[in-house]
Amino acid sequence: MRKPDMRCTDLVEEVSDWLEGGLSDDRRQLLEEHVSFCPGCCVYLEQTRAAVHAISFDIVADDLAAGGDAPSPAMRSALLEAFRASHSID
Amino acid sequence: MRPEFVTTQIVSLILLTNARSDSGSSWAHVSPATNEHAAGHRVLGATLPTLTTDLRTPDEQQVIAALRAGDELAFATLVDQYTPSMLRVARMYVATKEAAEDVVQETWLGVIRGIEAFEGRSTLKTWMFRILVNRAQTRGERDSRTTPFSSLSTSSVDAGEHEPAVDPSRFVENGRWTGWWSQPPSAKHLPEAHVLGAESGTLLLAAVDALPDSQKIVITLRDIHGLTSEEVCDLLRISEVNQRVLLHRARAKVRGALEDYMNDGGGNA
Repeated sequence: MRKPDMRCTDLVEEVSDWLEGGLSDDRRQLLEEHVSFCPGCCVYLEQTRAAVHAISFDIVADDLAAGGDAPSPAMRSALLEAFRASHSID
Repeated sequence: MRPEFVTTQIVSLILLTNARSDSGSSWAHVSPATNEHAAGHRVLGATLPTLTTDLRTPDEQQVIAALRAGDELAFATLVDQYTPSMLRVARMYVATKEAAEDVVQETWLGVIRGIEAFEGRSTLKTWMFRILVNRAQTRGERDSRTTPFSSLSTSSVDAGEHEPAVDPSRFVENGRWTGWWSQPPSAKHLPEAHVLGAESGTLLLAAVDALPDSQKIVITLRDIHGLTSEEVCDLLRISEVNQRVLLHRARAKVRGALEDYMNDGGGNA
């Protein structure tokens, strides 16, 4: 049997580039072929995609704020004050 | 019972999704597969959200217009939304939490001063982060703090210590199947699309927080905030190669955290 040019160990190092559209045509084809016959790598790819999606801002905005990094009341009021002031000039 | 293996139909659906993407992280919409296998593999055939890197959406235009019109609620909302991320990024450059707060406050003042003249050549978001990183760098240098990249030379990121994306013991190490999975990820450990559960966001952000600064800042700007690779390279003054390597390593770790979470029974709503 001809040895495939892409193994699972290669794929896991190239998945991110594939998601970026940054692989050469040859590597991309090899990766996509590999995924078509390798269930483990298919799952790996989907997990990577799911993880990347799961941390997108729309999804984690509230978690970010809840992590104790919300603007302090002092910062907030100082900034609102400055904002107001910048618009009260005639 | 969820089958372990995927059909080539589902796989080609996934491949079709990404085959259409150009450089930059954009995914086309994939409509759910309608065949029998779809029920068991719903997660793989599910609709993926469209992620665009061009954020000059109507929403952003509305925000800019509102700020220019003096809309305090719009400004307060923006401050509430972005301050957490800004603090986290600033904290990678400066020595103390207080210094990070100073930097973020200065950033917002810069936004207030600059919004009128903002030309929209980049997205609002990119522009804000650029102000932030510039101020953070300046403050960091002033406080003699090392930056997220000071310990990395170009060569050490490119060629240096190989940091495997996956524990090597999960692959076959001898014989004709060398390099293939011996402990593959299981389809049981795929989150149902859209149903990751309330804890997952916090958990994955914790995984991001645990990353080395250089990886953390890249994945934060690229994957959390959707800045393009060009914008991030420009903003952080790193090469495309460095950026790709850092992003790859960061994503590998976050994927691992997701797998562990699923393995521990998470993500089942």
